[in-house]
Amino acid sequence: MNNLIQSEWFKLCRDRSFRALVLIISASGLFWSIFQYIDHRMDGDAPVTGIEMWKSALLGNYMMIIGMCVLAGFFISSEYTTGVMKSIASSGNSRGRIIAAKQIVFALGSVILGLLFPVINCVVATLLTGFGELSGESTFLYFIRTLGLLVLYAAAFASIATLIATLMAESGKTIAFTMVFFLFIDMFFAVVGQYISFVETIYGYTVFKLLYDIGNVSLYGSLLVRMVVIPVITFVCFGLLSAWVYRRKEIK
Amino acid sequence: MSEYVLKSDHLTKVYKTDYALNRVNMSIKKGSIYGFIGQNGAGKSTLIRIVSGLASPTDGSIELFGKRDAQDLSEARKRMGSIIESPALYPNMTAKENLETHRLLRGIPGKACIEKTLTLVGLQNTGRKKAKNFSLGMKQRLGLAIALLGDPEFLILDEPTNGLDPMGVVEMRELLKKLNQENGITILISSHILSELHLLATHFGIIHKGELLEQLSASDLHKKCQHYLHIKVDDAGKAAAVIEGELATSEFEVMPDGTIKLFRYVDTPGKVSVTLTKAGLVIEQFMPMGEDLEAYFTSRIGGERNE
Repeated sequence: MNNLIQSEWFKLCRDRSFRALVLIISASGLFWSIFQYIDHRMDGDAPVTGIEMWKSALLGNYMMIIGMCVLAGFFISSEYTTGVMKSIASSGNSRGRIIAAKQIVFALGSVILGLLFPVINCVVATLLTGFGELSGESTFLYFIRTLGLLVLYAAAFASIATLIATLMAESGKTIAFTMVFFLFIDMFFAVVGQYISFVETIYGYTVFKLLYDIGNVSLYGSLLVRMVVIPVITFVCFGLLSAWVYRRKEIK
Repeated sequence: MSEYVLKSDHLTKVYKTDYALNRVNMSIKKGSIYGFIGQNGAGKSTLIRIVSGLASPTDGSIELFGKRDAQDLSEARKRMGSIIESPALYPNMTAKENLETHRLLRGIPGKACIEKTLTLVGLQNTGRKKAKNFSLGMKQRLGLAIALLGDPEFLILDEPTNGLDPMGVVEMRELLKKLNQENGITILISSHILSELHLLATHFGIIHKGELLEQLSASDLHKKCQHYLHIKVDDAGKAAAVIEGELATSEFEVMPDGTIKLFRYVDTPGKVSVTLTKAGLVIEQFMPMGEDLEAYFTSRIGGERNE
């Protein structure tokens, strides 16, 4: 298993789409935080601190979702189109391990993409105006908690994208489908939830809804547990589902 | 220890109602070069894909290095290298990076094997050039290098000479022969270039419409394809004596229908006809006959051509 993870990591580091995404997201983060600083100064407002930039960047991390969708297409599905998946599947490694290694490294890549924007925002703002303080909770604790949750949610979203990429087996289809899926799933739950009440209840227990709660300053007991347990369950369940699909897949 | 690297037992693959493979019993001896011949859609790739673990059979089974169970088969595939349909490469990586990915994938310790394998296929000087900028021939050779990584005992090559120039074809043939003779690697090779297979393979399997029509050794095929002079005269007994006496050869057969198959003098038929005529024999039929692999294959599949 270790060799498979090493191989996937080697590929991720050389993946052009991953490198391009890292560059684009980093540049966006840099420009956005500088723009925010200048904007606040020109308006005569109090400058935004590092922790405030971090908090605002956590709300609807679309950079992470879009980046992950593109990466899913190029990192996972393109291996079917180039035919490399044939040599991976015939390498003598079990299919379960192959897809598990792929999911772990893809999740790692998604975590990197998910963290880049808030981290750069936070670092630049801290350099310009200082880290700042949050009222009502320990700032350090808040930062560590949200960082951990962001990692968990990026991994959970990555596991769903892995399943879609395995099913689609084509870069273009994967990118298009995952983007539509992740960007409109909230709308779907909102619309259907109006007519069927239990759908709304279910939505409250999904990573799609809970992603927006990561940046909340105060998370009471049961919500915090839910915030931690649900992405872990999602990661495991979708991982098992991907393995089940991949084991039965005829690789062409 | 099994004498065979690969055996299939009534291997069947059905797509909806079409039989891609129909009860195929194939066996590949250790140390052989098995030329797998068949038209497009005959079932070659389906069989190769099942052996490689990319597809599962509808019925029947395969035995790889004497292993049959799914778990054991997976382990046995570690002793195998393959190029299936086209070389599987990462287009944005260099030759070295492509090999490094596969080295890590297969858990091969040390990086020395990368340089060794690249040298073996003649790609040691490709430097920072990305695989997407390689010629078709270079891509084939890189595909072969990937298949050879980790010194496999069994190589599966689906159309390995595709895209190679004439010199490349010769080099590939020599390399495969060397790997077979010096390293004892068993090779299953499918190719449309039958003349090329004829020069390389030690055994042949002919597949048509999912059915394995025949398996034969190169010497058996040679006998079947041997060129000869087909002679019919008024007195076969006398002709036999003349051939033995005057032409000083015993390499002929008198067939039950009275015709003679003469395996010598195929290139100088005039000498034979003059000798027989001088001996007072009346020649009724006289023609060179025999087939090459292509003709033999065509006759075995009933003269059908690709649509």
